[in-house]
Amino acid sequence: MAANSPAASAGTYRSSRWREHLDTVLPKLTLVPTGAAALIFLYGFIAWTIWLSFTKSTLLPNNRFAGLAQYRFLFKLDTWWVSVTNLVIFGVLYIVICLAIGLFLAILIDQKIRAENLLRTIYLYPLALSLVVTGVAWKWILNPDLGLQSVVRSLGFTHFTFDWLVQPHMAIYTIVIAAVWQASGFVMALFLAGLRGIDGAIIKAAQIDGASLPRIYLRIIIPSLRPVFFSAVILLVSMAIKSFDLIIALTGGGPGYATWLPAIFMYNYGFNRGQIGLGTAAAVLMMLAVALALLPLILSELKEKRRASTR
Amino acid sequence: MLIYAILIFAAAYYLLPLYVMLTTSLKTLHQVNNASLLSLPDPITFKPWAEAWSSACMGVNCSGLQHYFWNSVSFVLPAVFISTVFGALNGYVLTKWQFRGSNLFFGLLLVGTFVPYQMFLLPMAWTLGKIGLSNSIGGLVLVHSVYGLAFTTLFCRNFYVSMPDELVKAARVDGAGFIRIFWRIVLPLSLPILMVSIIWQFTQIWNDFLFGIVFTSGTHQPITVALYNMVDTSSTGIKRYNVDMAGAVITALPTFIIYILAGRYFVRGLTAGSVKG
Amino acid sequence: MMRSGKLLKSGVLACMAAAMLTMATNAAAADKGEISVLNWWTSGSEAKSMGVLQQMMAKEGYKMNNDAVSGGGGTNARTVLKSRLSSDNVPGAAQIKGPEIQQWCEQGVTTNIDAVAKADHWDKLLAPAIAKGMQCGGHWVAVPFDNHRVNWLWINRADIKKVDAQMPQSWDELVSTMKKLKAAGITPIAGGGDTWQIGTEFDALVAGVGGADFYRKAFVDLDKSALDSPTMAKAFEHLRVIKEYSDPNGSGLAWNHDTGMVVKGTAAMQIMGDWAKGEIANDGATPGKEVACVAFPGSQGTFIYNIDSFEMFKVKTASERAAQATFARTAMSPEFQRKFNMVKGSIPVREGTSLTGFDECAKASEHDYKDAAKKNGLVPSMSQDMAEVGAIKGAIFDVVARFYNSDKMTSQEAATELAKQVEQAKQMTQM
Repeated sequence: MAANSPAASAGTYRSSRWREHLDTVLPKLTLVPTGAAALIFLYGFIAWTIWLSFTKSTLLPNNRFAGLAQYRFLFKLDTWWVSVTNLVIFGVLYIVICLAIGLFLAILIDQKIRAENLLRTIYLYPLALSLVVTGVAWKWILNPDLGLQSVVRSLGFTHFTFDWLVQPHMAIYTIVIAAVWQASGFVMALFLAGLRGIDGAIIKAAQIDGASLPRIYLRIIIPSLRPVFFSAVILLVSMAIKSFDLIIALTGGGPGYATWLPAIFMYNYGFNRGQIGLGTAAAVLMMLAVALALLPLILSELKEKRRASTR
Repeated sequence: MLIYAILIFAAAYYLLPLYVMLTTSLKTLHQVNNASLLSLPDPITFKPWAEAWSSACMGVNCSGLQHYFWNSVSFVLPAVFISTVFGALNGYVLTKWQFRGSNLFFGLLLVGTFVPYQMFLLPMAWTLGKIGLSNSIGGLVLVHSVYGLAFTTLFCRNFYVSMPDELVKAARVDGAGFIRIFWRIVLPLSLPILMVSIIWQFTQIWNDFLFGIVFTSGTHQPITVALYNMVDTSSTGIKRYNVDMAGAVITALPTFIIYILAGRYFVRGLTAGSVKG
Repeated sequence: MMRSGKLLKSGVLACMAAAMLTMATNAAAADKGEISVLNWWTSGSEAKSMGVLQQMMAKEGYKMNNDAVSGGGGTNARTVLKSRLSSDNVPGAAQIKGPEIQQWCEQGVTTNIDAVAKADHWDKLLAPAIAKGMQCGGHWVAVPFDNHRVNWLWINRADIKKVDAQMPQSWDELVSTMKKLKAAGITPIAGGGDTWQIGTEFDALVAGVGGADFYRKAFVDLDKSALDSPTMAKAFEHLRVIKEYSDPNGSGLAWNHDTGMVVKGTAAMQIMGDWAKGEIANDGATPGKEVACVAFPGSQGTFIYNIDSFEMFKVKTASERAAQATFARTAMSPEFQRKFNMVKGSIPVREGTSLTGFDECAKASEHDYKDAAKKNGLVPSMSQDMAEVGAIKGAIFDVVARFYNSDKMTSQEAATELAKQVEQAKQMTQM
């Protein structure tokens, strides 16, 4: 894999031994601050979190070993299973809808339309706003008494009902609405970038061969966007897992605990209810799930790239 | 024509919350309480904006958001700078100076994009205390820089992968070293991806709430926390939604302006980066 | 000569020493010490009350940093406390209440204020149950600020008149009043928001159905036979009735928004603690006049108390410790107790503090408090963290929320589930 890197083949060039030496050391040295930061702030903390999940930590961390007791309690809690189910519902819908809307809008915008810059900015701007801020606005819009429902009713449709926010089983979908609103424009930008990067000649050739436009998109363009799908999914998964501010601002986790996600669960048990051991156990399981879901994806992508770069 | 209809409908969906925020912030309190959410401000008033900026109360402190605005600026800029510089350097090394294990290094770093930070608050606080940075702007700079690295490295690496290796090879033949190549050849071509990295980091750090509320107190707090406090304070008595919304828009203004001004770089940078990504 | 010379010398020296001493004390008066006070009081009136304390401490030469952390009824403040303890940036005092006081004390991070408490005879100024709550292992570790009653029903008088109903005194009267209100197109109960609001309603309902002894058995002793009992099931049943008559779109609305509805008359009643008074006054009404306060129907003899308190943490320097002592002494002073509680809506926790200038509801509260104290009717509030630590209260809240949000769960199932979840949470905390 290092065959193509200049450092490895440096011997063929006429440069002083000192420079050669420097050029082998410097790149690695450059990575040291990042490596050290990751070692402490990422892996150190992960290790610490894993250890705490096996302790009896309550208000403050302690080192009294508890074995798997925290995990056993965790599995008995309805709040945990609701959080997990919500993450699955929310995560799947969020990612799929963002990808669908993002790709769809990107294809439309790519049709050489007018006012492209304006539209693109409009679609993209939600990402700029803090979820604490937008959560408040969405709370208004989705509230049956103040928002859309009352506006539509005042237009004469008196039986119009849109009260998902206050329905325990529907509230999680309002989170999806607001979250998709926030991120789908960004996904659109990613896809648009991908579409712009596709070689026009390939498409022309296909057109000459008599392929229809939808067919070209399905067979040629969308498959070639594979790397974009990869980047988008990585970013969306990361955002879905970390969803916290939006829920706090929009529903506060309610009604009851109907819109809890594991991040909220951890925060609540770890800090508010003084059960750090239980909170860390939840964190460990979540990290594990993410690792299992994403590791194959990352590995396959890295392999793909290695092949591509050695080609 | 259908295309435009769809695009405009989509635009309406995206603009709805902004519309509500903006119009509300320009309404009198009387109108906020008595007219529909979607009505236009009549008459238009800028008083809520002035109040949110310079006289709204956060607890007993009634000096508006201005002080906290500059607080945010003071830690966001260094943190964005540091994480972007290291992201670019890392990306450069990971693509043009690959060594045994460099892909593994990248893979391990990527983990950083998936970790929910809530669980790291205590070890983080402990670490900040040990290095003497608790309750300080310096502490926030460190925290944000560190957790931004995974993202900036991801962006830059994907961008540099698409940059022809021949450029670097030719420069080496000419006798240029690691630093010189980066400075003279790679960096000048990096504007699009640096913009992506800066926009992304600026947005993430500016909008952060969790680290801000946990790691700072009193006058050190960032604007997002101040806004939250402001809304909380005004929640007793007559709820001044217009001032709250004006505060929200002020808080969002810097990121918003960056998106409008630099948005096209964003797409351009991603274009260059994600194609071969 | 020699003698007088010596005398002169020593006289000068003495004068100098005295002058230096005054200078020193003057300098110290400007800044004798500093204390950081961590709390979650960011709303207007509460923050102002903390400002009063700040000024009173400044008068004595101490600087009080008011570190107010907003959000989630103290959730964020609790996180900040843990973070600050971890980073060795310990606050001198932090807002902590109920059994959590003892829980923190057991962690070995707190310090005592015995000197102040003994000098000022706190044991004679506080009811025994309350005094015990401020102690840990025989030492005073916390100072109480106020005494709230939780089981109040706030009623818009005009609405009640409109439907020609009486002030409800019993559950049945309450139900019939709610029926009339609903028929007249007025939302009977403003509520249904956050879980803690529903928890507050549940507090009042359990006291109403079972009385003080049952309440104590269930929420303080966590007695399984009380938790999983027909009485508890009945309390759940009543909660469902309350839900039926509540604002269907109330979820997600803040409690003070609900209070506003009662003041305006769009809703007729709210079940809430007496901190609602601050809101009523802010919305331009007088507690006791336009909006009446009655003990929640059926729970008249019970006084569910909710006391805000500050616990002392181990600080390093002597000046910080001095500031801590002054903070505790000032907070318990009659002057502060009067000023603070008048704004907060509560009654002074310091017994014997004059209530002149307080409103009708405060006076009623004081009366009911004394009455309940005599009849063993004082109970700590479950919903306001006074009865149980966070883990167990959380488990109770979860069941209450689940029942509230589900139409399928029967009230008997809810009671059984409550006993089960509490038992499990107990195991977790006693691990």
